[in-house]
Amino acid sequence: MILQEIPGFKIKFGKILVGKPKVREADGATMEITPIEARIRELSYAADITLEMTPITIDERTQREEPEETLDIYIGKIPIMLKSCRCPLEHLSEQELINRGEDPLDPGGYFIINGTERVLVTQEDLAPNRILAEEASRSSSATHQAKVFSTRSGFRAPVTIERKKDGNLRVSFPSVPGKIPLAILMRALGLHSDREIFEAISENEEIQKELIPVIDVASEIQVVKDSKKSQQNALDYIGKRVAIGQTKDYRIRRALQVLDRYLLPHIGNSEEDRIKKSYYLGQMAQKVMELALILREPDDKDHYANKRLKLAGDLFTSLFRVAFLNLVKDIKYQLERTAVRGRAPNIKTAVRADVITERIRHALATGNWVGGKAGVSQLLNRTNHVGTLSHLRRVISPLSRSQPHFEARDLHPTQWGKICPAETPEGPNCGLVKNLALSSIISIGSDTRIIENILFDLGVIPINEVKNVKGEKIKVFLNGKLVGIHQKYDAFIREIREKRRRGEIGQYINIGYYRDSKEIQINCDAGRATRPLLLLRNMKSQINVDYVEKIKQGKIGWSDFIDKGIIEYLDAEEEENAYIAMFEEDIKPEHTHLEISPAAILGICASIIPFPEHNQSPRNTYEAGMVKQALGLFAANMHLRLDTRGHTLHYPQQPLVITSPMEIVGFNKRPAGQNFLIAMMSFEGFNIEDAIIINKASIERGLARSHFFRTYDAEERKYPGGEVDKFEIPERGVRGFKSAESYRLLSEEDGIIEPETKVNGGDVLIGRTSPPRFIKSYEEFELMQPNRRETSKNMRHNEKGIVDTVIISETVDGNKLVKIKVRDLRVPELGDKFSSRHGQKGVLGLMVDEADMPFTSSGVIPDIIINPHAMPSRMTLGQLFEGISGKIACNTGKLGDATAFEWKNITKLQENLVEAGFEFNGRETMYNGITGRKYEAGIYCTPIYYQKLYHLVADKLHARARGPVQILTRQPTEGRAREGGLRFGEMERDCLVGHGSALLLKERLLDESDKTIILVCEKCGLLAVYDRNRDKRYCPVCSEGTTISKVICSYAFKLLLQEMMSLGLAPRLKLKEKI
Amino acid sequence: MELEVIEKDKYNLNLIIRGISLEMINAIRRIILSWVPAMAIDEVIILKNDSPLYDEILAHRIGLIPLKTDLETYRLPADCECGGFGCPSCQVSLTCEVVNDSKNNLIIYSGDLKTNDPNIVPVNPNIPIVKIGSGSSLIFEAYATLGRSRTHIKWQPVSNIFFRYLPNITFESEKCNNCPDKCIVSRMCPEKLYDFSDEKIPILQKDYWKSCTLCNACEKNCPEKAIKVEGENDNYLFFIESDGVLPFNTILKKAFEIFYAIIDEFIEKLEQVEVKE
Ligand code: SF4
Ligand code: SF4
Ligand SMILES: [Zn+2]
Repeated sequence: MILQEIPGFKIKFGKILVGKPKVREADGATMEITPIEARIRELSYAADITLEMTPITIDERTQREEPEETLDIYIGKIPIMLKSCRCPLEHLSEQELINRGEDPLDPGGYFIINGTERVLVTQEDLAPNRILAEEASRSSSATHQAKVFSTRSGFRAPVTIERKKDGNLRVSFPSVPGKIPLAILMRALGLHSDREIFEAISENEEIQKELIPVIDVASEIQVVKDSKKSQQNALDYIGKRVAIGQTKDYRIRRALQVLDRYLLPHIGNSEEDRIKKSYYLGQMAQKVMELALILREPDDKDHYANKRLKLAGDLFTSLFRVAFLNLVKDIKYQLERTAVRGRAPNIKTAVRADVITERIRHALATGNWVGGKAGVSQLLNRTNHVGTLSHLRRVISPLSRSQPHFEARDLHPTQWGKICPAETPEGPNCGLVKNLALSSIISIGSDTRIIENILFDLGVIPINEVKNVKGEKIKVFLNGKLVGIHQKYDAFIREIREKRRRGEIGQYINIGYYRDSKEIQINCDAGRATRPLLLLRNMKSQINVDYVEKIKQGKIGWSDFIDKGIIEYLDAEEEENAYIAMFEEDIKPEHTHLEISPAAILGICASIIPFPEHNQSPRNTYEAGMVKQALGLFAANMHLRLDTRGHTLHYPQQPLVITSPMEIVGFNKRPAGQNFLIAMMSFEGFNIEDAIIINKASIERGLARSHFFRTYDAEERKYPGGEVDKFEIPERGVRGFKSAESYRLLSEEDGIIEPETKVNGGDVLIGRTSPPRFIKSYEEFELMQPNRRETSKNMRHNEKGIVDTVIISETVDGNKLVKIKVRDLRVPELGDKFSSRHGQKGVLGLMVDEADMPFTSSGVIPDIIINPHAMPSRMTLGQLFEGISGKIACNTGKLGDATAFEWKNITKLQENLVEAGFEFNGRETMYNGITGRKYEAGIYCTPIYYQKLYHLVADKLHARARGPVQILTRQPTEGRAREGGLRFGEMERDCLVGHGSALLLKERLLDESDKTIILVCEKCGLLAVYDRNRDKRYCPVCSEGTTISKVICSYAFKLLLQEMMSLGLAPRLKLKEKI
Repeated sequence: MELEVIEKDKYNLNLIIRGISLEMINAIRRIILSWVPAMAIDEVIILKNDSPLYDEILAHRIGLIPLKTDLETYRLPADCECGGFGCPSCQVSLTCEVVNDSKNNLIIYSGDLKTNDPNIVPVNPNIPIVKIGSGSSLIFEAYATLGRSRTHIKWQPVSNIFFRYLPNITFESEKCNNCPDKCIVSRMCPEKLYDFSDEKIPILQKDYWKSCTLCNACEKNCPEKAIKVEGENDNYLFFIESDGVLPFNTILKKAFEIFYAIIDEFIEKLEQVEVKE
């Protein structure tokens, strides 16, 4: 990298180095930091980047370059992804991780910015550099079109060829207004004759016939028998659009510049690439024409082969590119400034490291990425372990959520094994926010040039030699770019696949053959979703018993299977050529691959569901969303962490019925739920509408208890002018002093509350005083120095708890930082939300004494009673099977297995149940606890895993009698956090109107809301004024002497009058005596 | 009324009660479950807690430890002269002070509770309370009082109490046409009470009444309707399972005492009101 600025001086950039995560303290010392320190102290987990720079002075006369000493210069900080190769945690053992305060099961893969954990969410995008032909929308003037997103180092230039209704082809590309006829563009790019244009587009005569109007358009620039002249004319045609009113010379130069830079930049930007571009345009035109003549099907935009996923690495690349260019610009500017002052350039002072650091930090902290994308970086979900993992594997589509985009939201068959079919949010984001399936692996790119050479070695004929070739011509594309043709595709494809299996070329190289369009698509780019499959040879997978033994001993691992070619990754493109057997017993001679595990098509959240294949599919979607709300053990280092809010479940249990992905995902070690014994019956009807009746004794024994945490923090800020905040108990004279009572819990010494203190809403946790605002203005008037302000941290007024942790530390600026975690015990209460793992949610409706609960003939009393009406319409048979499987598990002591698609014979489950000593249908004979009478029917009574969801009544319960009002409208505030009123809306109003209770209505809407008295001049009808000094009312318009009356109205109405007045209107009220 | 003891050991008492009404037997069950008092720790003062568990969780765990109960010496705090403030006749103090000076983690068990009344001790010294790390300590004082399980389950005197109808199965062998495949009933019975080993006709075990749950699976599944399952009216199997808090005699005696007391009080009150003729 060479940078040229002021004359006589340039800088050569060398290697770039990324160090270890460090922090530069306020006192100047640099120290390595651990992630937990970063979280607690609100630091960024970031490392220094240094760049080798060599200043070179150029002798003005001789032009000799004189390099100076190469310097390693610190150019900024880059956040380090946890457990990436730059993170010291990567190779630590479990014990070492624990010693550093980390949860050994924490997946890493996120960043810590200012103490908060942030994920860069994978972005789904249309594949760049691929021609997609489709029918144009009915509203446009075109019939068919081909589009390509040509992308080169972050620059994205869409190019479209449209076939008009008159058969014309027109091209549009960035920076050129309007659409240019294809033939003119091709001429401009250097095709000499109509024949060449024909050939570049297609050899098919039928198509060529259709091309005549296309060529015709170019006649206006054509100069017979002078192709040079024609090209000049063509360029001028473009030049007239991009450089209007300039000289012809300039126009042509500008046109060439535009063609090089903005047309299909992925092919190149030099002169030699122009001819390649014209061939590429020919390709596009061919596709359009073929589509128009129904020689091919339109391309499917939603086919997963046409999608690329941008992971954190790609996102960082584009961000860093922009940040680095900013830095270079800044260095230039700084150097120019020193040069103007006549000083010798000094690169050390010219490099301002903040440029990169701030740009990256800002993007990560707000989520506003380069290219105007928002929400790229998100706060990591820490509700529970699965929620975290699922968040890290989320995929966002950039399509707008306000438009329907039905096809894009639909589950596409090619997403099989790559995107979870169940896990997507409901509502506006449905189908746009997706999650990777368990088996999905994103491809890593390999060098195109190497692959291209291999292709030529394997007999691909380059495009420029194609003309002389006779016989079959199969086009070979590499990453969407035509590299040549091949004549014996069968052997060629097989050879490439074998090469990959032998490990001679990268494992992520995929090849797909399209028989109908005679195309071979080879992909080696990054960001394709691939999935592993077992390769079949002679109807057998290469895995045998030997391997199983070796895996158990840990001698071989996943990568060995890839290296040996036993397992290979297929992308959506190559999958189109594969015939995949689901189970080993299904294998037929035609099969090429075997599915590793059908359960791996599900994502992380959906993998938690037992027997998902027996549920109605929306239920699995609901559960996939709900499992992210379940309370559990979110991280084993929860005692050290200071999340702003969080929950932990007491006694989380591993489910009795597990799925095998659960083990891999780590759900069994960080569970989120408990095994409840359920009975399915109505019981007095208190479980109507999915409510849950709970055994009070179970709650008292500790069922579903949890803790809620909230962290409050305060900093001792320093202000310009030497003023500082101070942690202390505020003194009486301080502005905003509450009562001495509110400070009673604080320590005399430092004004901070002590651990294990019980606190209630509004109590002060950290006493703090700040210097007064606007000191200057007081000094002028020589008034008494105003008092300091009270800026203490209080408990939220509707929360209570016990102070759990008090941590005093220091921010990067050297300010004292206090963080206080308050915990609150949450015993289940009426209204708390629970859910099974089948999307069957309900709130707690009744707590029943143990003596009143029904009991089975062996004395077992269920924990909860759910309503049988939850089953028929929801069709969650999986839940019934889970219960049966759980019952067997209880009796045999072996966890039930409910992995998706593994149980082919579900009646076997019932046989096992009878063997275990239960009735085959999971029912029990039960007795009414109140009367002692036996119930006629057997009652389904089984253990089912239930989740306590974070929607707790304690966080939502709210009522208000009197309270704060909004300043502007004087109406009561809104929302629980602001102690707001409950909205008396239109429908409620209509209700009272319907009842004819006018006075009640007036009370609600006026007296108890924003009642106010205004003064109105009876003569002019405008607002009047009250002069307190003279105790007089008068009208500012009619002046004194008119009658002024008091009118009661709502403050909002008064506001409306005044707003109208401010618009220059005169709203006059006509007053009349109340009869 | 007839009483027959089927099984009795330290933890189980199984009876057959004949000639008792359903209402009565359920009343006894409910009185034992929710009215008979037992001892449990009600107040914990935690002086030092280095364990990873919060004080609230710890207190909850300590409260659930079953304690041997002495109903002679102690009174319910509400009935006590002290008025519920706590005095030696309604309260027992227990303490626990464990300092882990070893290098390893240490589990604190219920046996580490020291009591000032040797009669009030945890029924089992091996109930784990919490695990603490090296150098940590746990110091707390706890006060046990009598209480009733209607207030909180920790005061429950038994761990399980239930009854069921004494089953009566009539098997009409004439109807049974000994099904060609194995008898479906013998496979369906969850308690495996039917034998179909060599005979053609299934044989109902002699003591089937001990474990038959009256699930009716046999009756419902026999294609020939050869079986009829019924619960005998007024004859019950009664099961009490104890964790050792109170001996069975005391539990039952106390239950009836409470029962009588309620009835007596009722009669007394009834006499006070003038019943109009
Ligand atoms: S199923 Fe009924 S009829 Fe058949 S053998 Fe068994 S008891 Fe007899
Ligand atoms: S009622 Fe049920 S438990 Fe009793 S014998 Fe028949 S099948 Fe067996
Ligand atoms: Zn007392």
